[in-house]
Parts: sequence; structure tokens; C-alpha cells
Amino acid sequence: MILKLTGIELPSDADFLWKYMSFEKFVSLLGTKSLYFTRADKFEDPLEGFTPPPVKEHYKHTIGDITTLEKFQENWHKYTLCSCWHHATEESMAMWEKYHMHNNGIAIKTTFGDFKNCLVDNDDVFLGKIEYINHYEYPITQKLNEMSMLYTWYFHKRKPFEYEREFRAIIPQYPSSLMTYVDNHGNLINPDSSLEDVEFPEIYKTGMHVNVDVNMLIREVLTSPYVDDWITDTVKSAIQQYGFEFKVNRSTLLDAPSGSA
Amino acid sequence: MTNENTYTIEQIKVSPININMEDHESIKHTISKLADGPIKGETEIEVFKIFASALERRFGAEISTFSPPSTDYKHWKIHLPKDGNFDATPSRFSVSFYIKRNDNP
Repeated sequence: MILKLTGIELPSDADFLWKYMSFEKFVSLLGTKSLYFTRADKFEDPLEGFTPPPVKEHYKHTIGDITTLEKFQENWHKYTLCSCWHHATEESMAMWEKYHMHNNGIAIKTTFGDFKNCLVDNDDVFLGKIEYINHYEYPITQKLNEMSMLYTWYFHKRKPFEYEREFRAIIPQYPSSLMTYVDNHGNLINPDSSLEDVEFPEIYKTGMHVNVDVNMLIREVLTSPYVDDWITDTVKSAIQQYGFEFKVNRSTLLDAPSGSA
Repeated sequence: MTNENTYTIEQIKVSPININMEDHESIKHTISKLADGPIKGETEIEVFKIFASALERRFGAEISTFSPPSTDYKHWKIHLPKDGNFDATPSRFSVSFYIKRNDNP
């Protein structure tokens, strides 16, 4: 089921989404017919998923013990599985560089509408565009009353990450033993309880494969602007071997102007 | 002194992920039997945890997971790995259900 959080924007159905990945991960996508959702605690941003301090301060009377919230959020990250995409009309040189795609990079292109429809596993998936904020000076607005204190912050990043123009899908799956502590909105419902004896068991080492309709997901494949043509041909060949037919092109971002020597 | 109520698990739906039809039918049958009869507990959350533990034991799962319940706290979903833990294989299944509180006689 597709879920939306209050205050989190969604792209339009026709908007393009891009995912940059290595050739190996692309082949894995074709072979397993699944997208890999990564644990949020495996991301580079150390503030990923944490509630901004002004919000914690504002709601300290309802949140309860701030230390409790922070301990939960720290552990919640490993139960929050994310698939991250670049939301843009065209490919991005910054993304090719960010993911070190010089030798074997692939970008797959889809639309938000197709992304929603390609998820076939009946998981509960929260979708949304990342909002880029000043983490330490987050404005307190009325809409916060309806927000989830645990999920919402996975759709916020700091402004220095704004160039990522990220769209994200998250699947929260928590150990059943922790049901006592969280409500439907991801808010703590027992915030003042002692956490000394609470265990936060491991579920996934790094993430989870989520089945997708690959034909629905992939509209076009680009290879890195750095690669030679034979690599693009190899990608085409791999796609054929797995029984798919997608448009494949090498990025022309770094091609010399036509007519130049 | 406890304030126990009686609940029943209803409208069970099993969604298989990477599980063949034969195993799916077997899983559905097993879950129906597990959910048969009343469960005593103080709250829906307690009943959920009892049912989740029963599912874990029956299917030999190290751990089960949940997706957040519906706003009215009546519709629930539990996920289980088919083979012990979620990293073992991509085979898993989810069980969605309602917890109905029975009126006291």
C-alpha cells in the first residue's frame, strides 16, 4: 500500500526519477527482479532520520524524555529501509560524479507514476520528496501536530544535500516485540517507559530486496558519459539475456560539440 | 488484578513474496488454525504480540516484523521470513488481520 505522510510532497505522476548504480547492481536488479532497500543507518549523513532540535524542544512535553526519543531514533534507523532516487527532468553530471560512475555506471530512468505501479509486494511504502532544511533552525509550524516524529524526518535532509534532489521510498518494518512503543503515525506511545531492558534486535544486515515489475519500472537506461561504446553494448547484451527490452544509450554529456575536430 | 478481555483474530489475509502456490496454501492453513479461538489480553497490542509470538514459534522465525497498524488500531500486519530469518532468502510473507474485542457475556 502506498502511504503519504502529512506535509511531505509527492512528485507528479509524469515526473522523472533517476537511479544511479553500478553495472553489478543493475544486473542484480534484472536477475532478482527486485530493488534493494537499504537500512537508513547505512547512509552517509549522520543526521539522517533524526528530529531537528527545535522540534524536540517544542514538543518535549508530549514526546516525553528526549533521551528516549533519541535512543529510539538511533535504533529505528536499522528498521527503516530506503530506496533513494534523483528527481529531475534530465540526467545529472553531479550524480554521475557522486556515485563514482566513471567506469561502469548506469542510470535508470522511470516516472513517479510507474514507480508507484512497479511495486508488487504489498508492502506499506511511504513515498515523498526530500525537503531540505536547516536542521538546527527548523521552523515550528502548525502542520507538525499531524506529523510522525519517527517517519517524517526520513524525508528531511540538510541544505548542503540539496543538489541531490532526492525522492525516497521507505518501508518501515519493526520487530513485533517493539509494538508496545509505537503508534500508527510512528510516534512513541510509551515514551516514559524505561528502555534499560528494551532490546533492538537485528532484522536485516544491510537491507531488503523488494520485488518490482522491471518492465514497469525501467523506461530508459543510460550508461555513464565516461564509458566506451563496448560497455554500452555489454549493458544492452545483459538486458537481452534477462529477456528485457529497454532503450539503452550512452550519456552524451561529455561529448564534444558536433562538428568539432 | 488484571483487566483481561477476550479477542478474536479475524479477516486474515496472507500475502506471499517469492513463495510458491503450494507453500502459500500450507501457510494459510497453518495460520488459520493458529488464529482459531479467542485470545485473552488486556489490550489489542498485547493480543498482537501474543499472536506474533505464536506465528514466530510455529514458523521457526527468529523474528517477525510489523507495519504500523491502522489509525483505528483494528487492522494489523505482521511480516515473517519463510526460512528462519529475513537475510536467509527473499521468501517471506505478510499476514494482515483484524483484532476484534468480544463483548463480555
